[in-house]
Amino acid sequence: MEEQLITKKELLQITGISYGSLYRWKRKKLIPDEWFIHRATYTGQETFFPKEKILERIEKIKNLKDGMSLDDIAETFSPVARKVEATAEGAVAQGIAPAAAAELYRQVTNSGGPYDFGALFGLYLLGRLLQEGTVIRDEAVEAVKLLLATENPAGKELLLLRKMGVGIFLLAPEGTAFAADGDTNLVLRLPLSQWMAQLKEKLGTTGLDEEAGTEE
Amino acid sequence: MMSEKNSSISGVGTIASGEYGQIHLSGSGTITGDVVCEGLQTSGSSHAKGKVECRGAVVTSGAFHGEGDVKAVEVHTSGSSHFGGNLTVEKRIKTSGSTRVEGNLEVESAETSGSLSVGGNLNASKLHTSGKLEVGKDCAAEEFSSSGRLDIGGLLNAGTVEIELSSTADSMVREIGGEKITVIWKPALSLLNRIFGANRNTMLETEVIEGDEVKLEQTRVKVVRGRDVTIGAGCYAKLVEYSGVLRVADGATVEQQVKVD
Repeated sequence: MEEQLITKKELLQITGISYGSLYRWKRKKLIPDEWFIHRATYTGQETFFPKEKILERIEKIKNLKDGMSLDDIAETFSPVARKVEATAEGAVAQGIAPAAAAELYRQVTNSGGPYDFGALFGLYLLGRLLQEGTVIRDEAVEAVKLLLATENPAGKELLLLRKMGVGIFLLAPEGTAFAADGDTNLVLRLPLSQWMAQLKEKLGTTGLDEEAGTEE
Repeated sequence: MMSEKNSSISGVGTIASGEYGQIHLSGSGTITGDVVCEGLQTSGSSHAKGKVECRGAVVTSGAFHGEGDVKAVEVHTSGSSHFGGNLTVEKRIKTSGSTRVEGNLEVESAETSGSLSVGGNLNASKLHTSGKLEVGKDCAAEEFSSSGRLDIGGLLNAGTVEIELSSTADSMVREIGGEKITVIWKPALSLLNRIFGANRNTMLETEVIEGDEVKLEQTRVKVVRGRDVTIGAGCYAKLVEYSGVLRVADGATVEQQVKVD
């Protein structure tokens, strides 16, 4: 499922904002860096944006900006919870992951915490993968190691391809189109931003219920 | 928590990891692990093997090498400083001599003279550099001004960009974006320049410049996009797209100009 993209130029024309504003909002993190998609075109390098997301975001910014400072607006959009910390036990108590996953994660990372948001997401990912049953234990651990080794996982998807019993994990930008040969199975395709948002929700609430099922 | 013991090394010595008040290193001092301190002053040749978290100022002179991430409220460097990780400064960094940060530099206000080289991203509110500025990835600031030589591998994104080009070497910035962007060529008023005439061959090389008001001199650029654009002497632009006013000086070349709505 490919998202529709628009060029920077089209965006400015449609919204009536200036280059200065766009760059300022990028600096202030009101527009995530990952939404600036660089592609080579016949005219050279051009910048594209996910159409629906960017138009919606710019509308919101224009509506809010007379009442709030840019920094405050940035807070409302922040995709990553700030100053989040929990130990392995704390994470289990908050329902972020089952105890078995936490124990396994402790071994993989050689640490029982405290974990920052990035590390907590690794734990959350491990727990979800194990619970959903699509991947086996060793594969789940591989996936988590890959995630932890990646500097900026936001805006990326986790994919698992299997051929003749051998699995390969990839982290690629969301919406990447690719083709594989007939003997290869796409076992898993998971946009990390969705699960990151779910984790953030969990951390924001005091609820203990696990969120069931998958989105999309 | 009250500030802990002060610790001083002069001559050759080591300081172990821990929490300290003021740390003074002179001669050849080594901090062997992670430290938290109220202040760090170094001179001579100092080496911090771990992380440094300073609740006050880090003041270095001579040769300083910090292997891990360094966090401080203020940083003053002179001589040669090398930060192997990220450098995060709450308020101000003032550098002279040669400063290298392998990771990212994050600071409220940066004033540099001499050479500042950042391997990762440089994020500041105010950034004023003279001498040489090198950034491996992106550089972002509300106010950016530089005189001397620039080498930015990624995007320079700033509210106001004021670049004064060096007369001794070319500058390179991959992309520039912001509100008001000005590039001027101002030869240093040195005697040699006055006698022989400054080298009007040095240029700013860049792929894309996008801003509201753009004024350029001695710039070689593929695409300029903006509202009001002035292409001044010594410029070469492949394409200029403007929505307001475009001025092209006599000594400048613009291959294609397009007025957009």
